[in-house]
Amino acid sequence: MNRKEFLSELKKQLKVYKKIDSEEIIYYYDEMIQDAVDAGHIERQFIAELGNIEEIVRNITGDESFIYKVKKANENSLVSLIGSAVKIISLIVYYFALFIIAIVCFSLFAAGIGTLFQAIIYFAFDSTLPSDTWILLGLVIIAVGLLLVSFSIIKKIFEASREIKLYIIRKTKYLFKKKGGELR
Amino acid sequence: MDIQLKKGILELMILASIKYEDSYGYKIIQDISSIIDISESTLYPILKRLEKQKLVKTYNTTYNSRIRKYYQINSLGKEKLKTVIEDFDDIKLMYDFIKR
Repeated sequence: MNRKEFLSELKKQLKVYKKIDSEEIIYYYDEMIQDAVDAGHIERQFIAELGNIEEIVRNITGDESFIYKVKKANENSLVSLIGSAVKIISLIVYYFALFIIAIVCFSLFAAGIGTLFQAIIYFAFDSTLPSDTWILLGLVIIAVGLLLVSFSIIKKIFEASREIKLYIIRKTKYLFKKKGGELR
Repeated sequence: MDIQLKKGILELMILASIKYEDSYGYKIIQDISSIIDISESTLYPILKRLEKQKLVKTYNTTYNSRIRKYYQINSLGKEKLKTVIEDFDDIKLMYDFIKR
């Protein structure tokens, strides 16, 4: 193989990897070969010593699993389709879960506010017997408790939302990977 | 040699090879291949990484009416080499411990 043939073959094989700057790699090898020839190497021999192009590409891209993934995706468009579908589905699942939690928090919050309001109304306008006072105080405590619980849940959710999102995405991906495996 | 270890050492060898004089791909390989085995396809990602970590700077010049990419060590790269030399005493201790 001469320089031109080598470079065009390299270019062809690098085309698959979209994230890699293949132009730069081509320049790198072009320069390398020409420098070697200038230093007295025989072009074809030097190129032969560079090794198998597939191996070069594997080395240069570094990440073997990345290549594997890209190859798989290219071979089987179904896999990539599942990949993007999984992402969307996991996000839907995540927002649905968030929605449910939000509803629960909101109802706790509303219950707390309502109870508190009622207790205040009783205190302010209705004549209270000593026995009623204790009941009302209990109500206030319950109301404050409800508010605190709903607030702490919301706070925790905000803190942990990223982890929860990742966890859910991972779980759904895992499920779909199983399915995908069966499909293939 | 263990791959991870070799990668780290190669990085330092490349930095050291351009310590006094800017160099280019082919020459770097010539300079260090007598000490450590390196192929063209291993060199490229390491150079790329050094560039990304801002340990080296690159520039192009024309040579024989073609473009050649030169690598130049900068202060951060020199700093890195210096710390390695300082760390060497620790490495020697570890080496002795492993070898014992």
